[in-house]
Amino acid sequence: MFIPKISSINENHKIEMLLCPDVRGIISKLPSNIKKELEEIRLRVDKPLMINFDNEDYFVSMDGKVMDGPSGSFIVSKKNIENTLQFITNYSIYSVEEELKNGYITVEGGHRVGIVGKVLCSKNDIRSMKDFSGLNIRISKEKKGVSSSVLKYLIDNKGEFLNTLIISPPQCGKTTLLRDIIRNLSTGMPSLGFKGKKIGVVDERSEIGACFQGVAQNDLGPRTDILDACPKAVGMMILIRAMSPQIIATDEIGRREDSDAIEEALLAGINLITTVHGKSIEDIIQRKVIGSLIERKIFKRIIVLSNSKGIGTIEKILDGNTLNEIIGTAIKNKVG
Amino acid sequence: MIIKVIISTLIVCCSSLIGVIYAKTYTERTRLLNNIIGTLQMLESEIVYSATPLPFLLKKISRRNNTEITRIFNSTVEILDKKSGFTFSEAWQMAIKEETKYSVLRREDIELLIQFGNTLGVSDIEDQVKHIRLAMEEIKRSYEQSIVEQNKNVKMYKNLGVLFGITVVIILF
Repeated sequence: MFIPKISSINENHKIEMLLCPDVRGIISKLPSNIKKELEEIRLRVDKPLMINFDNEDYFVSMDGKVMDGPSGSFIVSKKNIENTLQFITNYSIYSVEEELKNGYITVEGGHRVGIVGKVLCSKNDIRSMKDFSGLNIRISKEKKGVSSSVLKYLIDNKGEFLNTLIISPPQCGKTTLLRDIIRNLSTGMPSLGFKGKKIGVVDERSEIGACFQGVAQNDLGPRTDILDACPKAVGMMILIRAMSPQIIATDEIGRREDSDAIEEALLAGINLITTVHGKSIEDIIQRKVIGSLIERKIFKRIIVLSNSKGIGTIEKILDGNTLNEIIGTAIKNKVG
Repeated sequence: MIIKVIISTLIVCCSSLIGVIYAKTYTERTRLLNNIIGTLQMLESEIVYSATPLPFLLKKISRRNNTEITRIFNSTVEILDKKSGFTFSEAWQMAIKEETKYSVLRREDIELLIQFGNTLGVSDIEDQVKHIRLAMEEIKRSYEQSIVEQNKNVKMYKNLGVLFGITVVIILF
Protein backbone atom coordinates (compact mmCIF):
# COMPACT_ATOMS: atom_id res chain seq x y z
CA MET A 1 0.00 0.00 0.00
CA PHE A 2 1.47 3.33 -1.01
CA ILE A 3 1.09 6.09 1.50
CA PRO A 4 2.51 9.54 0.83
CA LYS A 5 4.69 10.95 3.53
CA ILE A 6 4.64 14.58 4.54
CA SER A 7 8.08 16.09 4.56
CA SER A 8 8.81 15.96 8.23
CA ILE A 9 11.96 18.06 8.24
CA ASN A 10 10.07 21.20 7.40
CA GLU A 11 7.29 20.35 9.81
CA ASN A 12 9.75 19.78 12.61
CA HIS A 13 11.36 23.11 11.99
CA LYS A 14 7.99 24.80 12.44
CA ILE A 15 7.41 23.01 15.72
CA GLU A 16 10.83 23.97 17.01
CA MET A 17 9.95 27.58 16.23
CA LEU A 18 7.25 27.35 18.89
CA LEU A 19 9.73 26.57 21.62
CA CYS A 20 11.83 28.98 23.62
CA PRO A 21 15.53 29.09 22.62
CA ASP A 22 16.75 26.82 25.44
CA VAL A 23 14.29 24.05 24.75
CA ARG A 24 14.51 24.61 21.01
CA GLY A 25 18.23 23.92 21.15
CA ILE A 26 17.68 20.64 22.97
CA ILE A 27 14.86 19.39 20.77
CA SER A 28 16.82 20.22 17.63
CA LYS A 29 19.61 17.96 18.90
CA LEU A 30 17.32 14.92 19.02
CA PRO A 31 18.20 12.19 16.54
CA SER A 32 16.28 12.74 13.33
CA ASN A 33 14.48 9.38 13.42
CA ILE A 34 13.00 10.34 16.80
CA LYS A 35 12.10 13.80 15.56
CA LYS A 36 10.07 12.19 12.84
CA GLU A 37 8.14 10.05 15.31
CA LEU A 38 7.62 12.77 17.91
CA GLU A 39 4.07 12.92 19.20
CA GLU A 40 4.26 15.20 22.21
CA ILE A 41 6.64 17.64 23.83
CA ARG A 42 5.81 18.31 27.43
CA LEU A 43 7.04 21.19 29.55
CA ARG A 44 6.26 21.37 33.24
CA VAL A 45 7.59 23.91 35.70
CA ASP A 46 10.67 22.59 37.56
CA LYS A 47 10.15 19.15 36.05
CA PRO A 48 12.22 17.32 33.46
CA LEU A 49 11.58 17.94 29.78
CA MET A 50 9.55 15.05 28.43
CA ILE A 51 8.80 13.82 24.96
CA ASN A 52 6.45 11.14 23.77
CA PHE A 53 6.78 8.87 20.78
CA ASP A 54 5.57 5.37 19.98
CA ASN A 55 3.14 5.84 22.86
CA GLU A 56 5.97 5.89 25.39
CA ASP A 57 7.32 8.69 27.58
CA TYR A 58 10.97 9.63 27.52
CA PHE A 59 13.07 12.29 29.15
CA VAL A 60 15.60 14.43 27.33
CA SER A 61 19.00 15.49 28.59
CA MET A 62 20.75 18.82 28.04
CA ASP A 63 22.51 17.54 24.92
CA GLY A 64 19.47 15.96 23.32
CA LYS A 65 19.94 12.39 24.58
CA VAL A 66 16.74 10.42 25.07
CA MET A 67 16.49 8.61 28.40
CA ASP A 68 14.01 6.38 30.19
CA GLY A 69 14.52 7.88 33.64
CA PRO A 70 14.33 11.50 34.73
CA SER A 71 17.82 11.74 36.27
CA GLY A 72 20.20 13.95 34.35
CA SER A 73 17.49 15.42 32.20
CA PHE A 74 16.94 19.07 31.36
CA ILE A 75 14.76 20.79 33.96
CA VAL A 76 12.18 23.17 32.55
CA SER A 77 11.92 26.52 34.32
CA LYS A 78 8.98 28.86 34.62
CA LYS A 79 10.77 31.26 32.30
CA ASN A 80 10.97 28.53 29.64
CA ILE A 81 7.24 28.05 29.77
CA GLU A 82 6.47 31.75 29.69
CA ASN A 83 8.75 32.33 26.73
CA THR A 84 7.46 29.32 24.85
CA LEU A 85 3.96 30.58 25.38
CA GLN A 86 4.99 33.88 23.81
CA PHE A 87 6.07 32.16 20.63
CA ILE A 88 2.99 29.95 20.58
CA THR A 89 0.61 32.87 20.95
CA ASN A 90 2.51 35.11 18.55
CA TYR A 91 3.73 37.26 21.46
CA SER A 92 0.14 38.09 22.41
CA ILE A 93 -1.55 36.04 25.07
CA TYR A 94 -4.54 38.36 24.97
CA SER A 95 -5.24 37.32 21.39
CA VAL A 96 -5.95 33.72 22.41
CA GLU A 97 -7.97 34.51 25.51
CA GLU A 98 -11.03 32.62 24.29
CA GLU A 99 -9.00 29.55 23.40
CA LEU A 100 -7.24 29.67 26.75
CA LYS A 101 -10.57 29.16 28.47
CA ASN A 102 -10.77 25.77 26.77
CA GLY A 103 -7.24 24.98 27.84
CA TYR A 104 -5.69 24.60 24.43
CA ILE A 105 -4.55 26.59 21.44
CA THR A 106 -4.38 25.39 17.87
CA VAL A 107 -1.36 26.76 16.07
CA GLU A 108 -0.39 26.98 12.43
CA GLY A 109 0.09 23.52 11.00
CA GLY A 110 -2.73 22.09 13.08
CA HIS A 111 -0.64 21.27 16.14
CA ARG A 112 -2.32 21.72 19.46
CA VAL A 113 -0.88 23.09 22.62
CA GLY A 114 -2.56 22.13 25.86
CA ILE A 115 -2.04 24.60 28.68
CA VAL A 116 -2.53 24.35 32.42
CA GLY A 117 -2.05 26.94 35.09
CA LYS A 118 -4.03 28.84 37.67
CA VAL A 119 -7.60 29.30 36.53
CA LEU A 120 -9.50 32.46 37.40
CA CYS A 121 -13.22 31.91 37.73
CA SER A 122 -16.11 34.26 37.83
CA LYS A 123 -19.41 32.68 38.83
CA ASN A 124 -19.53 29.35 36.99
CA ASP A 125 -17.40 30.41 34.13
CA ILE A 126 -13.70 30.25 33.56
CA ARG A 127 -12.61 33.82 33.07
CA SER A 128 -8.97 33.27 32.20
CA MET A 129 -5.83 31.48 33.13
CA LYS A 130 -2.53 32.74 34.49
CA ASP A 131 0.64 31.45 36.15
CA PHE A 132 1.03 28.81 33.51
CA SER A 133 2.65 25.68 34.84
CA GLY A 134 2.52 23.14 32.06
CA LEU A 135 2.45 22.90 28.30
CA ASN A 136 1.81 19.91 26.12
CA ILE A 137 2.62 20.39 22.46
CA ARG A 138 0.78 17.69 20.56
CA ILE A 139 2.19 17.29 17.13
CA SER A 140 -0.48 16.66 14.60
CA LYS A 141 0.43 14.32 11.83
CA GLU A 142 -1.93 14.28 8.98
CA LYS A 143 -1.63 10.69 7.90
CA LYS A 144 -3.13 10.57 4.49
CA GLY A 145 -4.07 7.07 3.53
CA VAL A 146 -4.83 5.53 6.94
CA SER A 147 -8.39 4.88 5.88
CA SER A 148 -7.54 3.04 2.66
CA SER A 149 -8.00 -0.37 4.23
CA VAL A 150 -11.45 0.37 5.67
CA LEU A 151 -13.09 2.50 3.01
CA LYS A 152 -14.40 -0.40 0.94
CA TYR A 153 -16.39 -1.65 3.93
CA LEU A 154 -18.13 1.69 4.42
CA ILE A 155 -19.84 1.77 1.06
CA ASP A 156 -22.65 -0.52 -0.01
CA ASN A 157 -22.97 -2.13 -3.41
CA LYS A 158 -25.03 0.77 -4.74
CA GLY A 159 -22.18 3.14 -3.99
CA GLU A 160 -23.93 4.71 -0.99
CA PHE A 161 -22.13 5.62 2.19
CA LEU A 162 -23.20 3.69 5.29
CA ASN A 163 -23.57 5.39 8.67
CA THR A 164 -20.38 4.65 10.55
CA LEU A 165 -19.28 4.69 14.16
CA ILE A 166 -15.63 4.51 15.16
CA ILE A 167 -14.94 3.11 18.63
CA SER A 168 -11.50 3.68 20.03
CA PRO A 169 -9.58 4.16 23.27
CA PRO A 170 -7.70 7.47 23.52
CA GLN A 171 -4.58 7.92 21.38
CA CYS A 172 -5.34 5.10 19.00
CA GLY A 173 -5.76 7.26 15.95
CA LYS A 174 -9.51 7.73 16.02
CA THR A 175 -9.50 11.33 14.88
CA THR A 176 -6.78 10.64 12.35
CA LEU A 177 -8.86 7.86 10.83
CA LEU A 178 -12.00 9.97 10.84
CA ARG A 179 -10.15 12.81 9.15
CA ASP A 180 -8.85 10.61 6.39
CA ILE A 181 -12.25 9.04 5.82
CA ILE A 182 -13.77 12.53 5.53
CA ARG A 183 -11.12 13.54 3.03
CA ASN A 184 -11.78 10.48 0.89
CA LEU A 185 -15.57 10.80 1.03
CA SER A 186 -15.29 14.45 0.10
CA THR A 187 -12.86 13.86 -2.74
CA GLY A 188 -14.60 10.75 -4.05
CA MET A 189 -13.12 7.35 -4.74
CA PRO A 190 -13.32 6.41 -8.40
CA SER A 191 -11.85 2.97 -7.72
CA LEU A 192 -14.87 2.14 -5.54
CA GLY A 193 -17.33 3.91 -7.82
CA PHE A 194 -17.97 6.48 -5.14
CA LYS A 195 -18.54 10.06 -6.19
CA GLY A 196 -17.55 12.79 -3.75
CA LYS A 197 -20.27 13.98 -1.40
CA LYS A 198 -20.91 17.27 0.35
CA ILE A 199 -19.71 16.87 3.90
CA GLY A 200 -20.41 19.02 6.93
CA VAL A 201 -17.95 18.72 9.79
CA VAL A 202 -18.78 19.88 13.30
CA ASP A 203 -15.36 20.24 14.81
CA GLU A 204 -16.12 20.99 18.45
CA ARG A 205 -12.60 20.40 19.70
CA SER A 206 -10.87 21.73 16.58
CA GLU A 207 -9.15 18.41 16.15
CA ILE A 208 -10.45 17.22 12.81
CA GLY A 209 -9.68 20.26 10.71
CA ALA A 210 -7.38 21.94 13.23
CA CYS A 211 -8.43 25.41 12.15
CA PHE A 212 -5.95 28.21 12.64
CA GLN A 213 -7.64 31.60 12.35
CA GLY A 214 -10.62 29.93 10.74
CA VAL A 215 -8.70 28.06 8.05
CA ALA A 216 -8.46 24.27 8.25
CA GLN A 217 -4.84 23.19 8.47
CA ASN A 218 -5.63 19.62 7.50
CA ASP A 219 -6.84 18.56 4.11
CA LEU A 220 -10.48 17.54 4.41
CA GLY A 221 -11.26 17.42 0.71
CA PRO A 222 -12.91 19.84 -1.70
CA ARG A 223 -16.55 19.34 -0.67
CA THR A 224 -16.19 19.88 3.05
CA ASP A 225 -17.65 22.66 5.20
CA ILE A 226 -16.26 23.02 8.70
CA LEU A 227 -17.94 24.56 11.71
CA ASP A 228 -15.00 25.16 13.96
CA ALA A 229 -15.23 24.97 17.77
CA CYS A 230 -19.02 24.63 17.58
CA PRO A 231 -20.94 22.48 20.08
CA LYS A 232 -21.95 19.31 18.25
CA ALA A 233 -25.72 19.37 18.65
CA VAL A 234 -26.08 23.02 17.68
CA GLY A 235 -23.53 22.61 14.93
CA MET A 236 -25.33 19.69 13.34
CA MET A 237 -28.55 21.71 13.26
CA ILE A 238 -26.79 24.67 11.67
CA LEU A 239 -25.24 22.46 9.02
CA ILE A 240 -28.53 20.74 8.21
CA ARG A 241 -30.26 24.07 7.72
CA ALA A 242 -27.46 26.07 6.21
CA MET A 243 -25.15 23.89 4.17
CA SER A 244 -27.32 20.97 2.96
CA PRO A 245 -24.67 18.33 3.54
CA GLN A 246 -25.04 14.72 2.40
CA ILE A 247 -22.86 13.43 5.18
CA ILE A 248 -22.26 14.92 8.62
CA ALA A 249 -19.07 14.09 10.49
CA THR A 250 -18.41 14.78 14.15
CA ASP A 251 -16.04 13.66 16.83
CA GLU A 252 -16.99 12.01 20.12
CA ILE A 253 -20.72 12.09 20.51
CA GLY A 254 -22.39 11.00 23.72
CA ARG A 255 -24.61 13.69 25.14
CA ARG A 256 -28.39 13.67 25.23
CA GLU A 257 -28.78 16.56 22.79
CA ASP A 258 -26.38 14.92 20.33
CA SER A 259 -28.83 12.10 19.88
CA ASP A 260 -31.65 14.56 19.11
CA ALA A 261 -29.50 16.24 16.50
CA ILE A 262 -28.65 12.88 14.96
CA GLU A 263 -32.35 12.11 14.80
CA GLU A 264 -32.89 15.36 12.97
CA ALA A 265 -30.08 14.62 10.54
CA LEU A 266 -31.44 11.16 9.77
CA LEU A 267 -34.87 12.64 9.10
CA ALA A 268 -33.27 14.98 6.61
CA GLY A 269 -31.76 11.96 4.88
CA ILE A 270 -28.21 12.78 5.88
CA ASN A 271 -25.62 10.10 6.54
CA LEU A 272 -23.42 10.14 9.58
CA ILE A 273 -19.93 9.32 10.60
CA THR A 274 -18.85 9.81 14.17
CA THR A 275 -16.54 8.49 16.86
CA VAL A 276 -16.83 7.50 20.49
CA HIS A 277 -14.35 6.74 23.26
CA GLY A 278 -14.40 3.12 24.33
CA LYS A 279 -12.64 -0.21 24.21
CA SER A 280 -15.18 -2.55 22.67
CA ILE A 281 -18.70 -2.74 21.35
CA GLU A 282 -19.89 -4.35 24.61
CA ASP A 283 -18.50 -1.41 26.50
CA ILE A 284 -20.32 1.08 24.28
CA ILE A 285 -23.69 -0.62 24.19
CA GLN A 286 -24.01 -0.02 27.95
CA ARG A 287 -23.97 3.70 27.44
CA LYS A 288 -27.27 5.48 27.37
CA VAL A 289 -27.19 7.70 24.32
CA ILE A 290 -24.83 5.90 22.04
CA GLY A 291 -26.05 2.49 23.18
CA SER A 292 -29.60 3.23 22.12
CA LEU A 293 -28.36 4.53 18.77
CA ILE A 294 -26.61 1.22 18.19
CA GLU A 295 -29.60 -0.82 19.34
CA ARG A 296 -31.82 1.06 16.93
CA LYS A 297 -29.37 0.03 14.23
CA ILE A 298 -28.65 3.55 13.13
CA PHE A 299 -25.02 2.77 12.47
CA LYS A 300 -24.51 0.27 9.68
CA ARG A 301 -20.79 -0.08 10.20
CA ILE A 302 -18.86 -0.05 13.45
CA ILE A 303 -15.07 0.17 13.38
CA VAL A 304 -13.17 -0.77 16.53
CA LEU A 305 -9.63 0.55 16.91
CA SER A 306 -6.94 -0.51 19.34
CA ASN A 307 -3.27 -0.30 20.09
CA SER A 308 -2.56 -4.01 19.86
CA LYS A 309 -0.38 -3.74 16.76
CA GLY A 310 0.71 -0.14 17.09
CA ILE A 311 -1.31 3.05 16.91
CA GLY A 312 -4.29 2.88 14.60
CA THR A 313 -4.72 -0.89 14.56
CA ILE A 314 -8.12 -1.78 13.15
CA GLU A 315 -9.29 -4.41 15.58
CA LYS A 316 -12.50 -5.28 13.79
CA ILE A 317 -15.26 -3.95 11.62
CA LEU A 318 -18.83 -4.88 12.54
CA ASP A 319 -22.05 -4.88 10.62
CA GLY A 320 -24.32 -2.57 12.60
CA ASN A 321 -27.51 -4.52 11.80
CA THR A 322 -26.40 -7.94 12.94
CA LEU A 323 -23.33 -7.00 14.98
CA ASN A 324 -21.49 -9.70 13.08
CA GLU A 325 -17.86 -9.22 12.31
CA ILE A 326 -17.11 -8.28 8.73
CA ILE A 327 -13.44 -8.51 9.42
CA GLY A 328 -12.43 -10.07 12.70
CA THR A 329 -8.66 -10.13 12.49
CA ALA A 330 -6.79 -7.04 13.47
CA ILE A 331 -5.19 -5.07 10.66
CA LYS A 332 -1.95 -3.35 11.41
CA ASN A 333 -2.45 0.13 10.08
CA LYS A 334 0.63 2.10 10.95
CA VAL A 335 1.40 4.93 8.63
CA GLY A 336 4.14 7.50 8.20
CA MET B 1 33.35 97.94 7.86
CA ILE B 2 31.16 95.87 5.55
CA ILE B 3 33.09 92.76 6.52
CA LYS B 4 32.54 93.56 10.20
CA VAL B 5 28.81 93.83 9.64
CA ILE B 6 28.73 90.55 7.75
CA ILE B 7 30.73 88.73 10.42
CA SER B 8 28.61 90.09 13.24
CA THR B 9 25.33 89.18 11.55
CA LEU B 10 26.77 85.74 10.93
CA ILE B 11 27.67 85.35 14.58
CA VAL B 12 24.28 86.57 15.75
CA CYS B 13 22.53 84.28 13.28
CA CYS B 14 24.56 81.24 14.35
CA SER B 15 24.09 81.74 18.04
CA SER B 16 20.38 82.38 17.68
CA LEU B 17 20.16 79.21 15.59
CA ILE B 18 21.83 77.31 18.41
CA GLY B 19 19.27 78.84 20.75
CA VAL B 20 16.43 77.71 18.48
CA ILE B 21 17.84 74.22 18.25
CA TYR B 22 18.10 74.04 22.01
CA ALA B 23 14.56 75.31 22.35
CA LYS B 24 13.38 72.82 19.80
CA THR B 25 14.38 69.83 21.90
CA TYR B 26 11.69 70.96 24.34
CA THR B 27 8.92 71.37 21.78
CA GLU B 28 9.99 68.14 20.07
CA ARG B 29 9.81 66.18 23.29
CA THR B 30 6.35 67.54 24.02
CA ARG B 31 5.20 66.63 20.54
CA LEU B 32 6.68 63.15 20.77
CA LEU B 33 5.15 62.42 24.15
CA ASN B 34 1.80 63.56 22.81
CA ASN B 35 2.31 61.20 19.91
CA ILE B 36 3.09 58.30 22.18
CA ILE B 37 -0.10 58.90 24.14
CA GLY B 38 -2.13 58.86 20.93
CA THR B 39 -0.45 55.69 19.74
CA LEU B 40 -1.02 53.94 23.03
CA GLN B 41 -4.67 54.85 22.77
CA MET B 42 -4.80 53.22 19.35
CA LEU B 43 -3.03 50.17 20.76
CA GLU B 44 -5.58 49.91 23.53
CA SER B 45 -8.62 50.07 21.32
CA GLU B 46 -7.15 47.58 18.85
CA ILE B 47 -6.39 45.11 21.62
CA VAL B 48 -9.81 45.47 23.17
CA TYR B 49 -11.87 45.32 20.00
CA SER B 50 -10.00 43.02 17.70
CA ALA B 51 -7.48 41.18 19.87
CA THR B 52 -5.01 41.28 16.97
CA PRO B 53 -1.66 39.67 17.79
CA LEU B 54 1.07 42.22 18.47
CA PRO B 55 3.22 41.81 15.34
CA PHE B 56 0.23 42.49 13.05
CA LEU B 57 -1.04 45.20 15.32
CA LEU B 58 2.24 47.09 15.52
CA LYS B 59 2.65 46.87 11.77
CA LYS B 60 -0.86 48.19 11.26
CA ILE B 61 -0.38 51.15 13.57
CA SER B 62 3.01 52.07 12.18
CA ARG B 63 1.56 52.15 8.70
CA ARG B 64 -0.80 54.92 9.77
CA ASN B 65 1.84 57.42 10.79
CA ASN B 66 5.55 57.83 10.95
CA THR B 67 6.91 59.01 14.25
CA GLU B 68 9.63 57.85 16.53
CA ILE B 69 7.30 55.53 18.41
CA THR B 70 6.02 53.85 15.26
CA ARG B 71 9.60 53.46 14.10
CA ILE B 72 10.21 51.57 17.34
CA PHE B 73 7.16 49.44 16.52
CA ASN B 74 8.49 48.74 13.09
CA SER B 75 11.91 47.61 14.12
CA THR B 76 10.40 45.49 16.91
CA VAL B 77 8.31 43.68 14.32
CA GLU B 78 11.36 43.27 12.11
CA ILE B 79 13.24 41.58 14.94
CA LEU B 80 10.25 39.37 15.82
CA ASP B 81 9.71 38.34 12.22
CA LYS B 82 13.18 36.84 12.09
CA LYS B 83 11.97 34.41 14.76
CA SER B 84 15.43 34.03 16.17
CA GLY B 85 14.07 33.34 19.61
CA PHE B 86 13.84 36.78 21.17
CA THR B 87 10.84 37.39 23.39
CA PHE B 88 8.72 40.43 22.81
CA SER B 89 10.29 42.44 25.61
CA GLU B 90 13.79 41.64 24.38
CA ALA B 91 12.93 42.68 20.84
CA TRP B 92 11.23 45.80 22.14
CA GLN B 93 14.28 46.77 24.18
CA MET B 94 16.59 46.23 21.23
CA ALA B 95 14.34 48.31 19.01
CA ILE B 96 14.21 51.13 21.54
CA LYS B 97 17.98 51.15 21.95
CA GLU B 98 18.37 51.30 18.19
CA GLU B 99 15.75 53.93 17.46
CA THR B 100 16.32 56.34 20.33
CA LYS B 101 20.03 56.87 19.75
CA TYR B 102 19.49 60.46 18.64
CA SER B 103 16.20 60.96 20.35
CA VAL B 104 15.03 64.02 22.24
CA LEU B 105 13.37 61.67 24.70
CA ARG B 106 14.93 61.71 28.12
CA ARG B 107 16.29 58.64 29.82
CA GLU B 108 13.26 58.49 32.10
CA ASP B 109 10.91 58.42 29.10
CA ILE B 110 12.89 55.61 27.51
CA GLU B 111 12.98 53.72 30.78
CA LEU B 112 9.21 54.03 30.96
CA LEU B 113 8.78 52.67 27.45
CA ILE B 114 11.03 49.71 28.20
CA GLN B 115 9.03 48.99 31.34
CA PHE B 116 5.87 49.12 29.31
CA GLY B 117 7.27 46.63 26.78
CA ASN B 118 7.81 44.09 29.53
CA THR B 119 4.08 43.96 30.15
CA LEU B 120 2.87 44.06 26.57
CA GLY B 121 1.35 40.83 25.30
CA VAL B 122 1.95 38.71 28.37
CA SER B 123 -1.54 38.72 29.87
CA ASP B 124 -5.24 38.80 29.04
CA ILE B 125 -7.08 41.76 27.56
CA GLU B 126 -8.27 43.18 30.86
CA ASP B 127 -4.77 43.20 32.22
CA GLN B 128 -3.33 44.64 29.03
CA VAL B 129 -5.73 47.55 29.21
CA LYS B 130 -4.63 48.23 32.78
CA HIS B 131 -0.99 48.26 31.78
CA ILE B 132 -1.60 50.50 28.81
CA ARG B 133 -3.64 52.93 30.91
CA LEU B 134 -0.92 53.02 33.52
CA ALA B 135 1.75 53.75 30.95
CA MET B 136 -0.48 56.37 29.39
CA GLU B 137 -1.00 58.01 32.79
CA GLU B 138 2.71 58.22 33.39
CA ILE B 139 3.50 59.55 29.96
CA LYS B 140 0.74 62.09 30.37
CA ARG B 141 2.42 63.32 33.51
CA SER B 142 5.73 63.70 31.69
CA TYR B 143 3.87 65.41 28.88
CA GLU B 144 2.36 67.99 31.19
CA GLN B 145 5.69 68.57 32.81
CA SER B 146 7.22 68.89 29.40
CA ILE B 147 4.73 71.59 28.45
CA VAL B 148 5.57 73.57 31.55
CA GLU B 149 9.28 73.26 30.79
CA GLN B 150 8.65 74.16 27.21
CA ASN B 151 6.85 77.35 28.11
CA LYS B 152 9.59 78.27 30.49
CA ASN B 153 12.59 77.36 28.40
CA VAL B 154 11.75 77.85 24.74
CA LYS B 155 11.61 81.61 24.98
CA MET B 156 14.61 81.70 27.24
CA TYR B 157 16.84 79.66 24.95
CA LYS B 158 15.79 81.62 21.91
CA ASN B 159 16.51 84.93 23.63
CA LEU B 160 19.67 83.57 25.13
CA GLY B 161 20.86 82.59 21.69
CA VAL B 162 20.33 86.05 20.22
CA LEU B 163 21.70 87.84 23.22
CA PHE B 164 24.77 85.64 23.38
CA GLY B 165 25.45 86.40 19.73
CA ILE B 166 25.15 90.12 20.35
CA THR B 167 27.42 89.87 23.39
CA VAL B 168 30.09 88.12 21.39
CA VAL B 169 29.83 90.75 18.68
CA ILE B 170 30.13 93.58 21.20
CA ILE B 171 33.13 91.99 22.88
CA LEU B 172 34.85 91.28 19.56
CA PHE B 173 34.43 94.70 18.03
